[in-house]
Amino acid sequence: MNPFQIRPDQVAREMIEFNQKLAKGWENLSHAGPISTGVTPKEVVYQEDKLTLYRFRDEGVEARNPVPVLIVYALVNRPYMTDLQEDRSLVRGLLRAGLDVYLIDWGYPDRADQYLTLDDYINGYIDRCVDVLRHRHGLNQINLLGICQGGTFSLCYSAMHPDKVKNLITMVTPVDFKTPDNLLSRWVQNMDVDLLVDTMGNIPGELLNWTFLSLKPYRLTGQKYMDMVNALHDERSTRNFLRMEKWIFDSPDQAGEAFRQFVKDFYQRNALVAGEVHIGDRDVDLKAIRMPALNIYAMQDHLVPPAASIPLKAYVGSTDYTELSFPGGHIGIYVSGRAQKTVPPAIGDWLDRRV
Amino acid sequence: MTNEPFDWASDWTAFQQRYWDSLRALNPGGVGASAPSGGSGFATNPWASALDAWWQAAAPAAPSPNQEFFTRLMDQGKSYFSMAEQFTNAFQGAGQAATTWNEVIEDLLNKWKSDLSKTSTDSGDAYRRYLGLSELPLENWQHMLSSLSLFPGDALQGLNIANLDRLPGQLDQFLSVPGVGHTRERQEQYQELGRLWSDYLSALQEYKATYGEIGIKSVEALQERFKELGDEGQGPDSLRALYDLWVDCCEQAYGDYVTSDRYVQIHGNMVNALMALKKHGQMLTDEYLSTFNMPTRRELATIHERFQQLRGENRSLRSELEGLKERLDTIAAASRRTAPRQSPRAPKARKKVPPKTPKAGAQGTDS
Repeated sequence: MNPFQIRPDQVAREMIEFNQKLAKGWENLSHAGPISTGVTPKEVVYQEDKLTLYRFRDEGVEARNPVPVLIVYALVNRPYMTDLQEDRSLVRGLLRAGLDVYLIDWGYPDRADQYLTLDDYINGYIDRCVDVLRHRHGLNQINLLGICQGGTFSLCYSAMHPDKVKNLITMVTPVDFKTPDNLLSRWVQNMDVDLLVDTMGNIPGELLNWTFLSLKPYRLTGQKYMDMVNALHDERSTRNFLRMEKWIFDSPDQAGEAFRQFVKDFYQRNALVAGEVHIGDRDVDLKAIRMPALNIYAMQDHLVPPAASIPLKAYVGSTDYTELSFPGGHIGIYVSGRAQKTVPPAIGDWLDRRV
Repeated sequence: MTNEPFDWASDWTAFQQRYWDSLRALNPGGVGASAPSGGSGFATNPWASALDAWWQAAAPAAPSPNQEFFTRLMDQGKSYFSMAEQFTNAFQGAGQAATTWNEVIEDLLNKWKSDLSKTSTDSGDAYRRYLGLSELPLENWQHMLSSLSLFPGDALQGLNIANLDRLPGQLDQFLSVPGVGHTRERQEQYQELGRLWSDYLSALQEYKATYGEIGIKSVEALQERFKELGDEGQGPDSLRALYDLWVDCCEQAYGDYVTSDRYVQIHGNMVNALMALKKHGQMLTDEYLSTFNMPTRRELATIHERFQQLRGENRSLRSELEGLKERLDTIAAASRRTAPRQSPRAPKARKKVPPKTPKAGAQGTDS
C-alpha cells in the first residue's frame, strides 16, 4: 500500500504557503527591535562580586506567607527564564500565590572567577544570601527553591545548614546522576575534566550550548526553525520566540574549579547519592535534610530525566516529603501555559501549609 | 484540495513559476523577472535554489541582530525544500501503482544510504542534502570551536582535505626527526604540537564517521516506518508531516547511537584531544608573550589563584575574630551577672584619735 497521501500540487501549495509565512516573518523580524528579558519589577537587595540578589514585587499583590522564598538557579543558564514574559513567569505566579520572592542572579563569571569553588558558591554566596533574608525578615529560617543545578546546590546547602532552611523545594533537580537515560552523564564519563579545566580555565558557555543542543540536534537546531515560521506570524509571538532564543544561547561561562568539582564528583562519581561529597570542610549527607521537601520534576525532561530526580525520596531524612510531576519538558515547566496554572499555585499552597 | 489529476508537464512548471513570482514580489529589485534556468543547482533543486537567490538579495537589508537568526531559518527552509524536491521528483516517475511507489521510495532511500556510506567530505555533504538539516551536530561543533579558536572564523572548515586519513601517518615521519642545537627544545615543542594536532585530526575523523553511520541508521528507520505505515494504510498526508516523520527517525537513530559505549569513547577522545592541543598551544603562546615582556595567562592564573586563597583566609580570620568577640561578649555578660552585690556605702566612721601622750623627758624635768 502506498504510504504517501500527498499530491504534488499539494506539496507545491505547502511550499508557497511556507514562503508567504517566511516573508511575513521577515517583516516582523525586521520590526522586532531589542528584546528585553525579565518582566516583574525587582530591586537589588545585596551584591557581592558578580552576584546580585533581587527581591521581586508585583503591584497590588502583598505577600501573605511571612517566610520568604529564595530561588537558587543553576549556574549554566541565566535565571530570567523564571520571569520570561508577562504570561510566562514562574516568579509572577509565586508572587500571586502570596509568596515573598527573592532570586540569586549569578552574573557572568570571567577569568578572575576561575578559582571559585563549590564551597565559595554554596557555603559562601548562598549562605550569605540566606543570612541577608534572615536578617531582613527577622527569621531564623527561610524557604529555599532550587532549580536544576541550583536544586542540587540547594540540597547540599540544606544538608550542611539545616538550621537555616524551613522548607526545601527542588525543581527538575538531578540527584542520581548516573541513570541509564541521562545522556549528559554518559558523555562526560570519558572526558578528562582536569585537562579541560586546566586548559580552558573557565568553561565557555558556547561549549555548554553545543552540549545541550547535541542532546536533540534535529529538533533543536532543525525542526524548531521550521516551527518558527508559524510563530513569526505576528509581532508579539515573534518577540516571544526571540526572547526564548536569546535565553537558549545566553549561557554564561562556568568558573573552572566549581565546574571541575561538580562534573567529577556529581556526574562522574555520582558522589551525592553515595554520601561522598565534601564541600569545603563539610560533608554533604542528604539524610541531614529533615525539613519538609517538595520535589517537582518534568515527565518529558531530556536534560534531567525524571529517573534522576525521583530517587531523592530515598535519600533525604525528611518525613514530610511530597512529589509533584509535571507533564512537560525541562523548559516547559517554567514557560508553558499549563505550568503557569499549576506549578506556582501548588508551591504556594504547599508552603502555606508549612508556615 | 482538488481531486483533478495532476499534469506534471504543465502544472508543476506553473507552480514553480508561481513560487518564483511570489519570491520576486517580496524583493522586486533583488531577483530576476523569471526563474533562473541555468546551473545544475537550479535544475535539481529549483525551489531551494530560488529561496537561496531571494535570501542573497534580501540578506544585506536585514537588521544585523536578526540576520544570523534568520540565516538559520533560511538554511532550514532550503533543506526542507530540497527534501521536498527529492520526493516530488521521485513521485514524478512513479504513477499510482503501489508496487511502483514502493520501488521508487526504496530506490530513493537506498541512494541516500549509498551516498551516506561514503567517507569524509562526501558523506558530510550527503548528510546535509538528505537529512534536510542545516545545523548538524558536526556543524554545531565547528561553530563552537571557532569561538574557542585562536584563529578568526571557522578555521577548522579547512579540514576537508583529500586523503585526510593518511595525513597523520605522513606527519609522524616528519615529527619523529630529533632536534639538535640551540633550538632543540623549541623544535621539540613544535613537533609535540604537530603530534597533538595529528591526534586531534584522527579523533575528529572518527567522530565525523559516526555521523555517516547515524545517517544510514536514520534512513533505515525511515524505510521501516514507511513499511509500517503502508501496512496500516496510513502515511504522511502533507510535506510537513513527511518532514516531521523524518526528524523523528533521525532523533531515534541518533538517540540509540549516542548512548553507546563506542560513541561515549569517541566523543570523549575528541574533546580530550582538542584540549591537549589547546593546552600545548597556550603554553607556546605564553612563551611568545614572555619574549615581548607581556603578562601571560599562566601568570594571571597564578595571581587569581593566590588572590582567591587570600580571600578565603581573610574570611576565615574574620569569622574567627567574630567568634572571639562573641565569646568575649559572652564572658563579659556572664561576669556582670555573677559579680557579688555591694550594699550602699555607709559614711566612713571617724577614727578615734587617742590623746597625745607627751614624750618622757620631753619637757626637761627630772624626777
